[in-house]
Amino acid sequence: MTGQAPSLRRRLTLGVGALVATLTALGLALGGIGLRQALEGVLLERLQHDLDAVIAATTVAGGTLRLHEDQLVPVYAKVYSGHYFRVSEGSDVLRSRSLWDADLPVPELAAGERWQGGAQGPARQPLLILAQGVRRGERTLVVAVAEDVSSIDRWQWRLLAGSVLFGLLVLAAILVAQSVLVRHALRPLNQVSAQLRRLQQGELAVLPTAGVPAEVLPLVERLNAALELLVARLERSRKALGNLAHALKTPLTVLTQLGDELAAPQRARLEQQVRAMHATVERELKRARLAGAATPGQRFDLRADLAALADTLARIYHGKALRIDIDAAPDASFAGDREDFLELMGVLLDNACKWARARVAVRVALADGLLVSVEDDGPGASAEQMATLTARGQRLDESTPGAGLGLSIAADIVEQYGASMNFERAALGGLRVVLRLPAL
Amino acid sequence: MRLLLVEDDPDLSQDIARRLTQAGYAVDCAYDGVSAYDLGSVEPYDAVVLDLGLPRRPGLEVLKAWRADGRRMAVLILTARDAWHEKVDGFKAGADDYLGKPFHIEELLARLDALIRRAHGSAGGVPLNTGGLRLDEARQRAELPDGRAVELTGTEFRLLRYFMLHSGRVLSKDRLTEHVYAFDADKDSNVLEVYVNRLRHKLGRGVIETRRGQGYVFTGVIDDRPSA
Repeated sequence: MTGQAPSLRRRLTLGVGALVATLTALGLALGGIGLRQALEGVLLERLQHDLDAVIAATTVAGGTLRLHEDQLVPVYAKVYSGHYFRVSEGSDVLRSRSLWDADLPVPELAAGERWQGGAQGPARQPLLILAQGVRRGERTLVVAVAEDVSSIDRWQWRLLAGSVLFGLLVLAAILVAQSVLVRHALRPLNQVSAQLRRLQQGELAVLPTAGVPAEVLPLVERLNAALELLVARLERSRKALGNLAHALKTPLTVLTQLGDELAAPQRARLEQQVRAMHATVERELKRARLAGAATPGQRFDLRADLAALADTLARIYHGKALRIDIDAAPDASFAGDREDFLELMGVLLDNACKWARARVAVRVALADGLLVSVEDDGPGASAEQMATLTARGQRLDESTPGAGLGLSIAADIVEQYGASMNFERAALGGLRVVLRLPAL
Repeated sequence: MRLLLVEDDPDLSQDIARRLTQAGYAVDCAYDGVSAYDLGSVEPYDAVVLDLGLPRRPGLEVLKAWRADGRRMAVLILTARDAWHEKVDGFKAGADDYLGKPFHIEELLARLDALIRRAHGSAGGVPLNTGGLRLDEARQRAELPDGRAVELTGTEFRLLRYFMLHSGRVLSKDRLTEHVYAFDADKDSNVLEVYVNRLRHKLGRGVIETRRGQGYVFTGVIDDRPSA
């Protein structure tokens, strides 16, 4: 695949991660606000009791405010204890001892009016203040109590830290679980991919649909339909090409026979034209017939077919009494098309038989694909000739039709399969052709 | 030598049949797979030239059917389908040789000759030579040990070649008739006697012996001078 899109797993990880992070943050914000409100509610209730106690302890006697401190808890006497009160009537102000020099910012209130607010208290304590206007006879007092709420803030921060830690743990757990799930959910796809490879190597004819999840089934079915179409198309086009070859070669044969009856100069000219036409027909049709590596292979018995090919050549070269040795690894197999393979080997073996004096040796070994060599004990080729052969194998367009037609078809097949073909001096003395066919 | 030519293109079939006849074969023609199979199953052909792309029944199937029936005549596949896998399948089906179209008639003749000789256990390419009598197949004439050439008619040539390929064996009149004449030819065994006598006249009396009630044996012995 080129221009790779981000993997499904990565996309899911990012998506789920963002979602969990957002939800955690939102939960923390809402929870934090709610908790603070709840704590403040509890605190306010307590402050109300404190306020009631301070109100109860306050009297106005002879125009002066008086506080019966003995009715109050000792915490108001301890400096900066976090619990404070303030009672005022105009400029007449009573403050708890705990406030020391500090004051509480409390507005003037009418009788029965309540006020609540926050302020920075002594020793930088954050304070929650509750105040109320109280009627005592003719006069209106403002009574306020305050409490240090730094403990709430501390609690809130502690809660936030705990929640963030918890959120991170949840996120990690979700990501791990999701990774496992994704791997599990994608297993059918990996399975299909493995089956496609087996199919390409000819071990399967169609992709199995049994046990395929409903989400993947349409994909498998469509792949199967496409494969069927591909195979049918190859078969059809090969059949059509076979018919075309037949239809073209029969008139060429008639022309050849006619040419045999002509006088020498005309005969030579006709023969030249017929030969050129034949070479073109042969080359183009054979090239068009190639299945190539893209088509699903149908496994064939490589050793049996090679033996049959050797037998065929022994019969064709009957007059020569050749010995054709085949040494193929027992588990050697070609993950391509049988016809392509036989055409390639046929061309090379035919060439070897043509030049051989008495022996042709074929070796097929496994080496990350197949390593095939065909050698003969014929006259061989010079270094320049081998270079020419290799060049012809590589630059097809410059090869002349007719001469070396088989070799140029072999080169076509080699190219189709991403293989390589090299020419060397054979141990037997003649030419050695080495093919490297990559595993598909 | 009797030969069955199976080729669906009438023009080509006619051309090849003419050249094969000129080369001394008795040729029957079939134009489709079904009649090819029928003829090949009944008539004692020495060789068959078989096209693969045939109407009604594919050539390869016809060949397989013959071999399954135990018909062992030499079969040369002559076809436009000459990919290597087709050649392999052709030989597997029981073919003895394979020739791709287009071809030169000389090549077909050389291969047929080699096939028929191989079937009779003699090496192809070398002129037939029995007891000093040589058969020049290209010029359809016999050469006597003293180097004198004897011209032969088509039927005489076919008969002599068959005799020479089966030298020393008793050949019945029926067998000779079947292998020397085409299917539609007049197969009167008296006519065969006439041709045997003509060969004796040209090559010498002792060259062919008569076995009463059995047939003829080719000895290849040039005993007395034939009259020129």
